[in-house]
Amino acid sequence: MNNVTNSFGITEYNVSICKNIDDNISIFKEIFKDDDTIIMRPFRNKKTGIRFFAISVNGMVQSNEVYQSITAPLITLDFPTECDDLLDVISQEMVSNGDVKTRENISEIVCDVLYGDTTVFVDGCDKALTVETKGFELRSVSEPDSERGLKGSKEGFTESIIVNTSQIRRRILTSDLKFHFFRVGTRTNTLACVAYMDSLVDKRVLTELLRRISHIKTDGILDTNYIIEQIKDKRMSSFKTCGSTEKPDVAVANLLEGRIAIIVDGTPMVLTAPYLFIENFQSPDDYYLNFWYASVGRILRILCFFVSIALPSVYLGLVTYHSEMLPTEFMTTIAESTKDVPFPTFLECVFMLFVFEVLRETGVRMPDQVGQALSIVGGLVVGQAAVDAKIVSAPMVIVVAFTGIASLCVPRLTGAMLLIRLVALVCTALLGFYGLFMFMIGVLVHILGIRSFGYEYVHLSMRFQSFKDTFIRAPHQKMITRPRFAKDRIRK
Amino acid sequence: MKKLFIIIGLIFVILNFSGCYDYTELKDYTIVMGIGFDKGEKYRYRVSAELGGISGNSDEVRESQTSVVIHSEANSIPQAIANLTDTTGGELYFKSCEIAVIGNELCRDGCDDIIEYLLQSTDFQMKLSLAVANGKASEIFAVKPTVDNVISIELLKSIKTAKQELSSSRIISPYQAFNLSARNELVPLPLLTVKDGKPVTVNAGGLTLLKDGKTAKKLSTEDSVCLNFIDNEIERAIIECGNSGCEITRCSVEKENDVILISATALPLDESLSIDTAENEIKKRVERTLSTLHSLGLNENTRVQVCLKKADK
Repeated sequence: MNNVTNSFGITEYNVSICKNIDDNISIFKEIFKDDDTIIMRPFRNKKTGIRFFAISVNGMVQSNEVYQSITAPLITLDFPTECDDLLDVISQEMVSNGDVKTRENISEIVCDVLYGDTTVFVDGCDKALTVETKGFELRSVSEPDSERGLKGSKEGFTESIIVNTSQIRRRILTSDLKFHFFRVGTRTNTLACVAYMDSLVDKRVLTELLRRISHIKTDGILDTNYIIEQIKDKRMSSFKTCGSTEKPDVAVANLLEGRIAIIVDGTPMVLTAPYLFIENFQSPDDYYLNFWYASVGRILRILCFFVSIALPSVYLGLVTYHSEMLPTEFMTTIAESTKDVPFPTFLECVFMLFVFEVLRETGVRMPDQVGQALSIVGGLVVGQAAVDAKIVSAPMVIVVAFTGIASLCVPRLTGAMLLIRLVALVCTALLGFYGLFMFMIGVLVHILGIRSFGYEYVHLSMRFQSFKDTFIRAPHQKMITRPRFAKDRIRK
Repeated sequence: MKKLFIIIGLIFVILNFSGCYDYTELKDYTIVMGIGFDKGEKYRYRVSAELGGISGNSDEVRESQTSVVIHSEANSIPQAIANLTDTTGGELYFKSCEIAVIGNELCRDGCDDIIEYLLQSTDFQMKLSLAVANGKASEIFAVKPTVDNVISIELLKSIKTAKQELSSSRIISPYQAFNLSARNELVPLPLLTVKDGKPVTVNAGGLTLLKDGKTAKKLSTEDSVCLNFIDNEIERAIIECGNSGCEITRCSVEKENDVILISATALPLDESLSIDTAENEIKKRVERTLSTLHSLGLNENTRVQVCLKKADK
């Protein structure tokens, strides 16, 4: 059997369906050699004697459904013997299930069967019928841990692409919403789809997105991050140019702004593109709470971003290079606190940041019962004991703790903030505030140079409509325009 | 190629404009909170420095004292300061020094060189405050602070309070002193006096007038307020009038030809005190101060007029 690879990197079987059912059985035995989960069930109609052969995967199908919808009717009922009429009669009159497709391509049949459908072959026909019989276990819809909110929907995406698309569909009851399915990953053949609003999406962005996805050459896609890293602009940048969310309401809001959603089977994370820098500071709660409170929260997040990346460096600069900027009393307090600490301030800072990251990382992976105890121990041990032992100074513990807490306020930029913080620290250790500002200018230049699918990552404008959903969240009645990448800019 | 030029340009800028290669930990510094200059016994100058951020090993010591005063003598100020560094064994940090006290004897002989040293030295910050001690500067620093842990901070606060609440003092930096001296004007420096009692405190009311770098006249608290009237340095003052008093605020001074017109808002602290009486009292006192200035050769043939407006309660 000669197999070829298509433009999405998927293996295609270079063989057609045979009219002889025994040949078809041989083909599939060859394809699924050594796979014990495949059920190949030959049977015949007891009135006409016509032979059938059904193929499905054990554990992926609802066995009851297969029996009641396929096997039982085909064994017991009467029908004509002509091939074309036969398939038509079977799909129209006998198989009572939801979706029935006629297949001519072996590759499509393999994909269908592996995804939980049952394919029926008829002796004497060179086509087959795929009947939807999916019955694999799914996680129930629940609130995502990474995106908890005070108000709004508590539903989250699951690992099933069908459930995820249905959650989006339930919220946009219009034919303008389109889903385009495709497969990606040469060995996993993962089902994915792009969702968009036909009247709002920028077709150039859509074309570019599909082009980039078709260029993904990998054997497996297990999560959306596999896709992100291969389609994003500026791949080496720590800032992401594709958004991700586990909440259907967030995905729908993005679609209504002209963005495109990428849903991948097997992961609850849905991608959205294009993605702008200011979205890192947005939260779904911003739109469900009063706009004053939401605006304060947003400004707080932006400030926390700056605190998280700059506070340790500012402290280091003040203590080592620019002590004259400190008020005298504060300076004497710091000097007294650091008097007996044997390490330079820079090393203290690096050590404390390292400890904080270890604690954070451990807290993520620990079971809930142990996590709480660990945080108490970590806080006591690091905070109190290290200060008492004069390994670190008390002001440093405060600075690093506040930095860590501020970084948790902006979870979407955790990785970028960690990197910027460390490099800023090194620059400050070398050149004081001069080094810090030089580095920050470099970061700013980098951010300003990023584009997300052709659109500026940071768009500077002095018009109110540009501010309405950036530093503040304007009242809903004032938010009358969509972002600039939407085809239809006016919300109506 | 473009990136290479940018990188080279960046390195050039960093190497030429960076001045932050002097990495020093705060704990390696010995912080000087205040500095005093006196006439030395063996040498020309005696420099006293109050070092802050000192704590003992026991709780008792920590509570009672957080500063230490050290002294050194030399024939030049830089040498005396270098000797201080030898005493402490660590680098002295003068940028936190907020007050410099000059002893009475040294001031009488001339303190221009001290003011010039403080001005030219990059170790001291621009907002350093100058003051003159009624006796020795070292006696001022020997007073045990009553409120703050550091006497220098207490001195500075008392000068600020005297200026803002009583208008009987001023805050003068070496830069301002130098400018006034260069214009042949009198330099009014706050006068610090040790008051005996329990506890021993330092009074910051009153001014010392320097002319050509030497003490010309010491003014009492009352005369200092009048001088501040003339120079439009009044923020808030209480003028005693017999058994009563008058609170002065919002003062403005205009000088036309040889007449100094002082306008202010006054609030009599007693119903029986009239505005006219207060006006006359202020005029009398200001004229007395003016005559003192005349005797020093300044503001000759100048008259004063006072106009008070009653403040609303």
